[in-house]
Amino acid sequence: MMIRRPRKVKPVACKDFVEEITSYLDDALPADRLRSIDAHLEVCADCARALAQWRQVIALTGRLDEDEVDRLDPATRAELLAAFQAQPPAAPD
Amino acid sequence: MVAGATLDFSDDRVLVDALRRRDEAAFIWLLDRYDATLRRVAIGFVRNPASADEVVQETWLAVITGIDRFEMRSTVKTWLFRILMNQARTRGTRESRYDVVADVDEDAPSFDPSRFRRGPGPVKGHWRKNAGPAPWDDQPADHLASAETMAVVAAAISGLPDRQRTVISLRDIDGWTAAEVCDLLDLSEANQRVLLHRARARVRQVLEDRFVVVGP
Repeated sequence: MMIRRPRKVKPVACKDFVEEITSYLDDALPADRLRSIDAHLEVCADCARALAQWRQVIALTGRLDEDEVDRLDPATRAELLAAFQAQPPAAPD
Repeated sequence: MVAGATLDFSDDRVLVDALRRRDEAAFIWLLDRYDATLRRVAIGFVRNPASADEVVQETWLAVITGIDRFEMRSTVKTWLFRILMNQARTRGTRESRYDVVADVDEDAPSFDPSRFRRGPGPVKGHWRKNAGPAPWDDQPADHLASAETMAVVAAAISGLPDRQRTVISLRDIDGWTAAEVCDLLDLSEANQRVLLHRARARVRQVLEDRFVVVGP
């Protein structure tokens, strides 16, 4: 029977991790790197905070949709609807 | 079909059928769902908002004239944005604004390098004392998401280089997947990620600068 040894994790430099946060969140890192980072995050409060702030940035950016002011102006909208209605329907199959 | 029944336009077959019947509700649904996103993508390729508006309008007109020939070999969303990209690239090339490499190669670390130790030894690359991300957790939740903060976030995003702005908008505002963004913008996964990361880093820095009061 194979003896299971705890998997070794390599040390992670904070400077490197902060450039990998987006890859980390996209699950785009190799498994061993992921393990090293997870171990690092348990002991490095600053990196854990950087990650938390990345998540906050994503959440806040996501809320911009609710404040969407970039609405189609009514005149263009009316023009497009008229063009849509004016387009002759295709002959039925 | 029962008159007045609500159709589920998020189902492409229902949507395309309705568009072919010239069901106005279907076209309005499509407009409301995608117009703002189309505009956000278009602005990354052309010189000014007026050009972007024209590109988007041409896209909608192409949808109107093309819907009967659409063969559903892709989703409506993919088809729609491909039309936009064709329109935008034609015009963007004319206005010579298409430059993804510049936005990717730009050397912009997420945090000022002086915030990390230089070494030697195992401390190299770790945060310097008191140089980690400044906490803003102490902000009351409603303040963090206040209209004022949202305006700061919006301004930070508008100020980004074109390609970064397009990628963060599609990923984080419109909720597109990385694969969808790569496909639309013809980006490698790595480049897509660099652009997104730079964009988020910039927004984070702007928020840090806003919330953190430098001590006496």
